[in-house]
Amino acid sequence: MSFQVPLYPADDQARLQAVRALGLLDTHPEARFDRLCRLASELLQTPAAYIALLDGQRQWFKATHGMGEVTETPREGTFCDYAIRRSRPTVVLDASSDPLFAHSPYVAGGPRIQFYAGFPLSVEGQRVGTLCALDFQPRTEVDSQHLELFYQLARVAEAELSRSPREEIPHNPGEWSPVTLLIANLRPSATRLEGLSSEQVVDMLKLYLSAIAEVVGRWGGTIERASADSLRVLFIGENDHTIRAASCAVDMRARLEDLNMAFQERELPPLSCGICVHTGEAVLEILGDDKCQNLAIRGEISGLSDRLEALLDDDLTLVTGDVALALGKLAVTGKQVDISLPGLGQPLTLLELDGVGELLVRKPVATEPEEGGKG
Amino acid sequence: MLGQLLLYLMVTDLREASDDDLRTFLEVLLRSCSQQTSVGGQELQEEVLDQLAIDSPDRDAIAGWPDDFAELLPPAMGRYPEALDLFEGLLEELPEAGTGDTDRLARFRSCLDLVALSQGWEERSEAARGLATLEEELFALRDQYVVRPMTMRECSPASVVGHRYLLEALDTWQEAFRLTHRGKLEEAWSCAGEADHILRGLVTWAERLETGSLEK
Repeated sequence: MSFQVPLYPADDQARLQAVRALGLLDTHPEARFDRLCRLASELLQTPAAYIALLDGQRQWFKATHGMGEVTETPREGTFCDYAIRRSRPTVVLDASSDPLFAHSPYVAGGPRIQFYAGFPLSVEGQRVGTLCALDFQPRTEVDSQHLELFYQLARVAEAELSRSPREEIPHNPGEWSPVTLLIANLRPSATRLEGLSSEQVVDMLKLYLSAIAEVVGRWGGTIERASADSLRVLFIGENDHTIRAASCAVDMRARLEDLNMAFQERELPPLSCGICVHTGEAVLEILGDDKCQNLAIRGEISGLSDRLEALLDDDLTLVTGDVALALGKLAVTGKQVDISLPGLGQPLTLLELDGVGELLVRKPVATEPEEGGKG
Repeated sequence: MLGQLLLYLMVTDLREASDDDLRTFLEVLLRSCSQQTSVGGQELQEEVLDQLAIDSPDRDAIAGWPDDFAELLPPAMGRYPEALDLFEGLLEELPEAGTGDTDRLARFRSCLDLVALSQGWEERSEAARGLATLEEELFALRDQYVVRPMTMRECSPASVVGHRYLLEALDTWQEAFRLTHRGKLEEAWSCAGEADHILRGLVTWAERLETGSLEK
């Protein structure tokens, strides 16, 4: 069949140039994109989600969740080839009953996709890819609030795409940036570790730090300060630093539980760790020279972090009200804990963080947190 | 002031307004109503109070106020019904839409034909790409319009008629796309024809506004 009027512009060059300029095609998976897919999948309760870049003849997956080993598919006949042409989200509730998609090889055969929600991802005005969630069962509706949150995730994905490869820590002297700090304190473990040999204690702490460093890396944090019993982690970035920091806290708690089970098998006592996440503005500066550099965080947030660290005596995961606010509906919070800090007229209210989205805290089984507030 | 606020409602797409913004507008409208002694003003005040009492104001009801309380509009808008009749007359004069009338309608017809006449997924993918492109073009038009809404100074009976029919045309186009996805191709074609008919009417309307021939 041929038409006198072209149905769509054949020239896709400017967009393709933008895709290739990202420098991401055919690169390795990255945790920062993988976790967005996981969040997208959890948010819309779908078995699969992905971030695709739409190249000339293929859609290539920068990140996938629940899709096995697939890395790319031909572009023609995909939902994304449709979605990339629109600035609005594309939601197909029941692909089998939509004549535009019912015969697609991805619907009538192959994975038999029935539900698709996709947002175009734009970088510098060009739609380079999509963030999508898909299901193999049709749906009758999709919650508009979930779609709104999905849209926010797409904006985070765009921010990540536009700063590829990963930006270095900014250190513009005198410039205030939004940051989130996570502090973790092993002080509650001190009495439990009494009676162990120094080799045993060192061995436990090594395992702990190695596990925590892996979790911090997965969520894109930077360990800014570490000592034998405490560490401070910095999260920066335009949109998602608070979500990543809170997710990291939840993940750390889960990792600690796994470690404690391993310790139990070796008849070692469990480690207890107080974790707190707070957010604010700071000036980040690199002090020193090429031979010896140190990241310095200037601002009220840094001082508050020091004071909180000294008071984290319970095996709890806590966030400040600002963090809970930034997480919005993603925050699963528990009881309120009021802490009196020197220099603050009012007690600081913290909330126990039970989860971020579907990522839930596994409560420690060996210890019971105290009832009521502190301070 | 009250008349200007009602006029503002006539040229604003309330679907784009947040609940908070809408409530702020309603509070301003309420203050203006309280200075009115006319029966219409009092009745509108009650309507505003009702909307302020609910969590999410009813946008459709609010959008209907300029018609429901037309007597409160600025005096210049007294010629609004006349302008409306004039535009509707213009639409009646225009020939019905045919396949080749405009580029967008021809493209839409081609996409529908691809869906209706072929069983292969390649042709349907072609149709999907064509429809997505067309939809994007039409909604870019709306987005541009939303970014630069009509100012009070630009409001006249004729421009308000143009504004309202433009939004109606774009809504009808949207319905045409929705029906296509449901496989109701004939109804989709009918909607697209109706929407395009209005858009063609608006082009003529704008030309007449520019040349001043509407005023004659």
